[in-house]
Amino acid sequence: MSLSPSTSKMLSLKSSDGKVLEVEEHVAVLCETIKSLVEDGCADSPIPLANVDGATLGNVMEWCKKHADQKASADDLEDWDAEFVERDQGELYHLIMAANYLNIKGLLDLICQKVADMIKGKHPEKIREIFNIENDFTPEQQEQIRKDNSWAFE
Amino acid sequence: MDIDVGSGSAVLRKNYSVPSFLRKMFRDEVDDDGSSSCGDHRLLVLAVHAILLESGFIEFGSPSGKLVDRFDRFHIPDECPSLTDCIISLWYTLPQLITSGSVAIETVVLKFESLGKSLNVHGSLARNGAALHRLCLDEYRFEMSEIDRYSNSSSYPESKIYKFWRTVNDGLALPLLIDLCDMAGLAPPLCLMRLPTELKLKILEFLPGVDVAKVGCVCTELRHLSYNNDLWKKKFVEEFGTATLNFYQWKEKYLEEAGTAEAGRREERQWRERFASSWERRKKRKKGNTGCQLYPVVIRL
Repeated sequence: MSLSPSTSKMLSLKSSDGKVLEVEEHVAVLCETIKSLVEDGCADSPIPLANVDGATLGNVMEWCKKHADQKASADDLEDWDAEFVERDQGELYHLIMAANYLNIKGLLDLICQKVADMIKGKHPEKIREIFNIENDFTPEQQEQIRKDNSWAFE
Repeated sequence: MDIDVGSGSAVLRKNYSVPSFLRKMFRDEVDDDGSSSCGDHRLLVLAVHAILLESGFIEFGSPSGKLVDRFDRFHIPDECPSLTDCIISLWYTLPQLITSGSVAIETVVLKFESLGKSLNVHGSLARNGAALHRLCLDEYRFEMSEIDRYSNSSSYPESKIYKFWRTVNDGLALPLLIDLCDMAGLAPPLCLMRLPTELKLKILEFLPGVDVAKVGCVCTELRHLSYNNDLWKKKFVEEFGTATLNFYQWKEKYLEEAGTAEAGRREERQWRERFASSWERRKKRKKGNTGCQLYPVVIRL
């Protein structure tokens, strides 16, 4: 389904904390979940999004708006995305959950890549530190793991 | 109740010692009870309870007495299983909600419904019952008795326990935690480790193989997650290309057609090991080229 910006009407999206956001339809349909509703003709009343809070919904729609803009070049989008993901873990958590719930593949991939980049090249101890994870291996398991993974360490 | 000790700080602790906290719970609760409780629903109720506590919940209105005794009627006599239908409810809240001193404390309720041999658990907010989360735990009955049996040995079936933990955590504990935080106006749990399993796995897909291996050294949960064979097959192709992949797939097919389906399946499962040995070989070649081979490398095929 292609909707040109000129004919796009407005959709009301209602977040879990009751905030209502007015979004152009051609922007909102980047969310597959919303697109299905529109196609089924169920998008007239404010669409309740029970799993997305207002602040996150605002961020998600900001991303959708940028990516719905057909004038934006690939390079432009790449730079913009790089800036968009500069967030703390809490915000990234909300964005991943929302992108998954709203089924926005591009945004989900973007955030997963960002988290992967936070992990990449790090020693396990550093990963524990960044994500606040406890080392719960027994000494025997630790030894086994060291053996199994020695190839991955220089 | 032994397992309540320190639960006030549990919400701040990101501890994912999946099998070890379950084992501890069984030691504390079931030990002196002996083997008589093997296989009945009490173990499952205890395990779900332990997972809720591990997620940061505390039991609300904790009655006294050992948990295992309170669930006595969940024991199923083998001779007449169909006569023991009953429902047990447990309430939970978060430590922050109690200390905030509000009059009405928001809680979630778990209802365990035992119908003959089958056990279902329903979880929802206690006040308005919204957002019901449901799990059927029938298939874990045997596994849980295994945990009990293996609780003091190192050979307990870790992956089964992990699967159970993951089912309860993703299907019950996590959604309830989010519902309750939402209802009480608390900030929801924020750590990326709290993402559902499928999304954690998705993040691993964006990592190079060598980093997936390092993630597997972080904690028990990530170790299990990082041993996904399909994931390693993808990583293998990314790192070493499809030519080598084709060779291995030819080998699998050959073994299967030669009538050794079991060997074919075994071959199919080994992408992580193949990645490791190809990685070692490449590393060795590079070292050989620069003339500074430091130590021998074991190649496993």
